[in-house]
Amino acid sequence: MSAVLNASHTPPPPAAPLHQVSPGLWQLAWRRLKRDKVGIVSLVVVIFFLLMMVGSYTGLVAKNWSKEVGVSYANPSFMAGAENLEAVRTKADANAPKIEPVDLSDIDPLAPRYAEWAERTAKIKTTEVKRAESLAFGGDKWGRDVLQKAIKGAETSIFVGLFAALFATIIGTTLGAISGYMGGKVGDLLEWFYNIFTSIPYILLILAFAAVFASSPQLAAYKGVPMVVAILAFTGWTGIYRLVRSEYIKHASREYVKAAQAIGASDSRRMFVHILPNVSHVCLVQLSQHVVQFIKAEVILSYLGLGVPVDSVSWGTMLAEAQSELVIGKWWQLAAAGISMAILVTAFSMLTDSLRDALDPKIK
Amino acid sequence: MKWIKRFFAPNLLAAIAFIVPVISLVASQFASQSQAAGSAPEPAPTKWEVVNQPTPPTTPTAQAVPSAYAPDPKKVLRYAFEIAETGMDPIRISDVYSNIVLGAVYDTPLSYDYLARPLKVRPNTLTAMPEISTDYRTFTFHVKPGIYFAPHEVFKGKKRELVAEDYVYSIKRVLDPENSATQIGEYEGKIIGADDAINAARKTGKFNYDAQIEGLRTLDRYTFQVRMVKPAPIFIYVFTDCRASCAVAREVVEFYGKDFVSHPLGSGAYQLTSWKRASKMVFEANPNFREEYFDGAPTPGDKEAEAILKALKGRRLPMVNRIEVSVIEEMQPRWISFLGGGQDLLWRLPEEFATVAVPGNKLAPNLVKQRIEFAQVPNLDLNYMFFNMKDPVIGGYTPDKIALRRAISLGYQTDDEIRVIRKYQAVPAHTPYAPGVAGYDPNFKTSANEYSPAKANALLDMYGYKRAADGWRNMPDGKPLILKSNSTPTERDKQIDEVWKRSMDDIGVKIEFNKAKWPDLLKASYAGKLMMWQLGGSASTPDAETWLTSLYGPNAGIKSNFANFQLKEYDEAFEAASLLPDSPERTKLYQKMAKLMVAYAPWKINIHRISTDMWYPYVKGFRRPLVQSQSWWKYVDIDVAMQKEFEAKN
Repeated sequence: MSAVLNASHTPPPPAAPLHQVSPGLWQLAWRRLKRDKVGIVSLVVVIFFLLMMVGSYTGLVAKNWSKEVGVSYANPSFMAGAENLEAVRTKADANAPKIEPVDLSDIDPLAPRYAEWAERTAKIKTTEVKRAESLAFGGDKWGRDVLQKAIKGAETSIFVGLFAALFATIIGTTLGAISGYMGGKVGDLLEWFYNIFTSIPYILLILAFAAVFASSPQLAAYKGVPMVVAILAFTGWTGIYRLVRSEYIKHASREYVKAAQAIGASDSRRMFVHILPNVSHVCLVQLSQHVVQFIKAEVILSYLGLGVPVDSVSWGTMLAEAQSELVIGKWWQLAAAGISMAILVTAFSMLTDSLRDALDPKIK
Repeated sequence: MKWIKRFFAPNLLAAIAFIVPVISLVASQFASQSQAAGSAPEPAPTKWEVVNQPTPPTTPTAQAVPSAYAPDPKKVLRYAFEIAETGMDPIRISDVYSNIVLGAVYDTPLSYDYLARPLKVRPNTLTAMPEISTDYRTFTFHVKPGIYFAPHEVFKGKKRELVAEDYVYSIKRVLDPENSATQIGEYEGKIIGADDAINAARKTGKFNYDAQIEGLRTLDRYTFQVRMVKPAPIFIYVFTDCRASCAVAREVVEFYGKDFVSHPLGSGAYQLTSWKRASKMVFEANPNFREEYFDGAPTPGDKEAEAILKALKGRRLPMVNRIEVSVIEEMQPRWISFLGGGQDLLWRLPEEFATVAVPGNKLAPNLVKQRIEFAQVPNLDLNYMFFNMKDPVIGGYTPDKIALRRAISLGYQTDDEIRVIRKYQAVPAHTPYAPGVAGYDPNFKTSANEYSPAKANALLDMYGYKRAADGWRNMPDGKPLILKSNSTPTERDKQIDEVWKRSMDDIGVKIEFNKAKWPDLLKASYAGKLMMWQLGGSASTPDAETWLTSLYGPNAGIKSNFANFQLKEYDEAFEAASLLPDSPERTKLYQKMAKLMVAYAPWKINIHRISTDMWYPYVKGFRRPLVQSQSWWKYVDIDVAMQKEFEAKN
């Protein structure tokens, strides 16, 4: 009592909140993540790659990746001067006698306009581009800069990996949540659906989807990267579904869910507001694994001609090209795509690992 | 493994660090890539479920006394195919690799001289060249007596002689619609009475092998005669092609029925003794093989051939006892296996390795040190892109359409294809037929492979293919101009697509690629549904007609005229030429056809490939045959002592 009385003489203390708001789940997670050095470094790396992706999409970086600036398989600059047999020109038919091509004018339907043709041709100037002997990180077979290619390739690969994994996780989590939480007839139906998907070998399933997408005239307009994302998302959700379902079965009967039920939380609220944060670590780990898996799967699709078109580039197509280059000692394309992929994939897995730790309410 | 160091030494450290994980990752996903793409029509191998049983063993009886001669059992030749064989019934196969095998097991009446270049036809199982009537309509063949099939239980221990009736029967098998023989076109509509026999079989569902066909009959035990509806001066080439005329024994065919395809048995130098489908085939010398000695007629001045003849002339054939053929589809293991001594001969060096193995088309120093020998032979083949003349965008005979196709041809960077993709294992094509075939004249060249983006751009501007604001050209009527090309989903085809894409970008023409499997594309092109598709093919006969027939109007849609090219002038020249034997007069007509092809541009002809083969010096007498079905196994020898020396080193 006295304390109260004393206080009345002093200026009131800084307005204290009426009741302490405890930090939310996400805020706590962020605090925990900040303490994790590895997590922060990984986050920075991932953000860097994402920025690079945006940069290359908007044309800020690697805009001229398709320009042929160097000789065939130009050496990396730190190896400038090394022997490059691929750039040596061999006279293909050195022994062939020099003969003038035969005159076609007696049978050529274009013959009446030969003079005009020659005149117009003379007006067109052709300039020979000087090609560099060495490039920052070497050149590919057409003499394109491998470093720029890797950056441009990152755009496609990350986009495909990230979005396909995201969609697959969303599909898998939603279906898994419904199946695990509801159980009963709905659960059976979804299990049956899941069984259909898993009974078909993965590659065949991808091909079947690809065939459906490619043959539909409405969908064919989205050929290329969006189609790859869709195909991978629609085929890749099964593993996630299964894991999330088992988590939901476990959690559905837990006390906190019962408590939520008791205070009148709806089914969907219980599923996605109460249980989901508690199983989010599973989803996140799956997400990161699938990003990696889908970056690789894009390779298969590109190889089958269903992936990225011939005039664009992804890490997958770079790795495919690298196959035959390695034998002739040209390792830089493999290195560029391989290192970038390794860094991103490692950073991504470590980040999700940290996120898992940060998000799991059981780990304080 | 010294060679590994040599190849990778400069980059070794940097490379090793992540080669292993990444390559294994990639390799696992590409394990089945193999097709020689953008190139020879070699359909994917069919795989049978039936496990093969080796040909039934010989029953040693009094009659089947092994002949006095048998090659040294220590002589074994090992090499690898890049594509699996598809079957062992000569009339059903269409791929090069099965053809090579069957050429050694079966006998055609005629064959090519092993050493002569250009190719020269000579008797194989005949006593002399066939008698040809002056009107080129009657061909009479005299089979040499004393040629025997390899032993088989069906023959009940007797030696089964090859007779004229066997050839007649074998040709009837080609005509039997039930066999869907690949070469039926060589006889259908050409031999007198063949069509009636085929139609009767189609009606009744059964081919009557005992009925006489008017234009195909035996005159006596060793003589058969073929009579043609029309003069056919180059018909004799059919009798060098195993798919059309290899002799099979009727008893054996009837013994195995449908399973004959897995039990080859012929009169050739070798017989199949063990077969793991699409993996390994083992052949051993046929004990009943006729008495035959190494001979040849090298072209004067051909030093390589003369040396072979000098070393081996008069040797009894076959010289090697056992031929082991593995199927290694991936180029890298095939190459490594050869360098490691696992193969004695490398059949066709993969183009990817050319700059490492034969830089500047000379053997690399490390291979010279290993005493590896090599030879480069221009193939009798042609790679070309066809444009469908019935396509609304690209087809047609009006100047604006011709201009479009000509501009596309002028814009294609053949040089880049040769340099970057083929690694100089190809030469630019100047005629729609390969150098070295009958009808080819080295002093005749067309402008088919001229590369001039300036001329192409000028031509497109001139005929109203104006550039739109985005830089891409429109059709003269203002609609966007989009080429739709086709290719198979292999890495090789992707590279060729890249050349097309880069080339067309330079002249402002938009090009897109549809990816599909080879057989599907083939079906679509028969139906005339493809706008353009790059094809390649090896010659089945060393005559320019092989390719020129694919532009002959009446062949449009049904046969190989995928471009649906129909031009009266061309057809007249073709028909006139088909009645002539190889002569300057006929060559003139061929040249006229070549000129028309360039002017109207139903094809963009690209390249002729060069094959590089390598072998260890203990393999003696190898010479790449130019025509696919020509057998060469019996002509090579192994120096066993030297082979031992090499084995010890590895």
